[in-house]
Amino acid sequence: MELLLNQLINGLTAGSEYALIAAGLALIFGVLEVVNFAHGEFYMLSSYYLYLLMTRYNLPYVVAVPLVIVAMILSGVIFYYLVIRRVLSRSWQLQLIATLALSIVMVNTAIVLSGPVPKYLESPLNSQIVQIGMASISVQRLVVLAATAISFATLYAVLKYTRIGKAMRAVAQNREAAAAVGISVEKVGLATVVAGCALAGVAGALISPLYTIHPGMAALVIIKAFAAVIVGGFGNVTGAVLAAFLIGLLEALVTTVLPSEYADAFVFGGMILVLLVRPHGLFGRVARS
Amino acid sequence: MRPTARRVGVVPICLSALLAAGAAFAQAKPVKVGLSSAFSGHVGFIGADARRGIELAIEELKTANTAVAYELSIADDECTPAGGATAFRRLMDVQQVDVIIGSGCSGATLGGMPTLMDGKLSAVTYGSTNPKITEGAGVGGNPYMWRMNLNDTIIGETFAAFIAKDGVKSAHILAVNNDFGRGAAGVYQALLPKNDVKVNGADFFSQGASDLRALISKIAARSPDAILLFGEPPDCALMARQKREMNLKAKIFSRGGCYTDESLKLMGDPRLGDGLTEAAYWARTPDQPMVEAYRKRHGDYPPYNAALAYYAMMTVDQAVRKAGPSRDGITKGLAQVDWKSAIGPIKFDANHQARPDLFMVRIENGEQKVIETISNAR
Repeated sequence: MELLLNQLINGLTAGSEYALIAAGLALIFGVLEVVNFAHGEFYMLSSYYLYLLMTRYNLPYVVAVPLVIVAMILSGVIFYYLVIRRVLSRSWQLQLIATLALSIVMVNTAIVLSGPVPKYLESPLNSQIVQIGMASISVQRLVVLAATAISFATLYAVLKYTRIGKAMRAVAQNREAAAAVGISVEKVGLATVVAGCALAGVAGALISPLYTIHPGMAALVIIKAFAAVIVGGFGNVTGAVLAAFLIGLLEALVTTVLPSEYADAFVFGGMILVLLVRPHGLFGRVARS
Repeated sequence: MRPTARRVGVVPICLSALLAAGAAFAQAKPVKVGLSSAFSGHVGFIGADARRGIELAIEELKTANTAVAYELSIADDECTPAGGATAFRRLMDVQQVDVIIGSGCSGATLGGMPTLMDGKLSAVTYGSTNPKITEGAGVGGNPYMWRMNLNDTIIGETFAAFIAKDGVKSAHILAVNNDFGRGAAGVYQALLPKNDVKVNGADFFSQGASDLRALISKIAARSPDAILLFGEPPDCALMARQKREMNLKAKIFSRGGCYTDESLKLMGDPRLGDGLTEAAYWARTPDQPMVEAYRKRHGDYPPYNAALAYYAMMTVDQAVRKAGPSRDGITKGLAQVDWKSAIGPIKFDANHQARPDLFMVRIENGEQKVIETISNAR
């Protein structure tokens, strides 16, 4: 029972990390129908921003985190104007190549500028451990859980109640019709990409102190985030977040009862099963023609 | 007569000058050394470290004014079998190297080994520990593969007895899911029970995995006396931090670089590593001049991959001195190498396995301490 409670907490914390990354990925696809293969690298970029602010400028963690998110918003603006706007109305193949190329450029730039040696950042919350029942967990990890909930709630509220959120949903439903009724697709696109990058910023700033920072740090986590986006229903943010938690929990539970190397097989096997039964994902809609 | 004689006398002088220039040219033609290692991906630091070690060795050999000059070419093997095959092939056919140093990863070495037969090119690995490499080299079938470092079977025989002597009655194996981790896990699953240590189980994590909490919870539930961890420095640092977070009390015994400066740095608080014991094929002992030379050059102590690659380069130089700088000469020379290095004797057996010293290193007060140096020379 104690092991199950521990694994439940482990699953939720792992899921919250996948969810923070998957939410931005799902948002950009949901609104703009662009699969951003560089999204994981924005997570890596935000971690390096944090490292730079804390080591070069000696800023305390709590000051550096909001600055990272601001830096990621600016990075999102640059990303939109340099890449996304140029490929938005082009074929999906071109969009794929553009974002994939950006991902490769970002990884290699990080290797050139910072070297391949991993780096570690100490957050004061990392060494503060709290006891939940029989399980112990760092405050940093609880902050990640809370940030996932807050980020998702904020995103939900923005999409549901604000003017820009409604415009995003309109563009997601039918870009041409939205443009025809006077919605600026460009503004919506910019806001979407910026929101996606800001979410990657939150993920990088909060998750990276738990692990290490290196150019390839996004490689494994982005695969899980993609799985969450696909299982959740490509483009459905709620679905992606729920699927991310499901993946985290499934991994932890499979690890409990089977040799750990089967965890990935179960996650991706489960993904295939879901797609066989529901080709549009758990919460997906039928693709537009 | 005199002018004619002078002219005749000039001819041998000119010939001698030409021959001397030719000889100098021949001397200046460098021996091409290829480094196959990981320069990208989760363990991309291995290649960068190894490169620095080899460059230091080449610089020292140049300063020592040896007859042979060396030139380094590199190839990224990504620490994978497919990457190893590609990197070995590229170094052999495209860069036309005379010898390969590498790989530092067992998987890449195993992937690259068969390639060597085509080009009759020798490779000296400095860091791969999977026993299959020794089994397949020399009389095992591949006459071009050589291993300068100890393999996991040799290390395991001593380390398993050491673990038992430390009072451990049960252990759980936690290893990176690659040829290094799986090879080491197999060795200790066989050796620990022979030393009356029960193996509770073995679990594997993906290279670069960031969260080991689910695995640690599972292991903690089985209450082993110790965990045997086979991973790279970032994995060890992660384990140390998550062990603290989850209040796990089991002792840690490790292989793969958990005791190293890079691992301790990545822990944040190096004292998180206190009590960890590693059976290491390299340690920062005081009798190694390369340690200070590296520090002078790079401002920091050498990472273990840099140190081992340094000694691999020096081993290659020993081979060149024995039988010449050609591919064939280096292969023959490696068979004759009998060098007393600062980390123990380097002499290859019938399976092309050398047996330098083994170092038992323990972390105490956040610092590595060599508690025992074990000679493996037969």
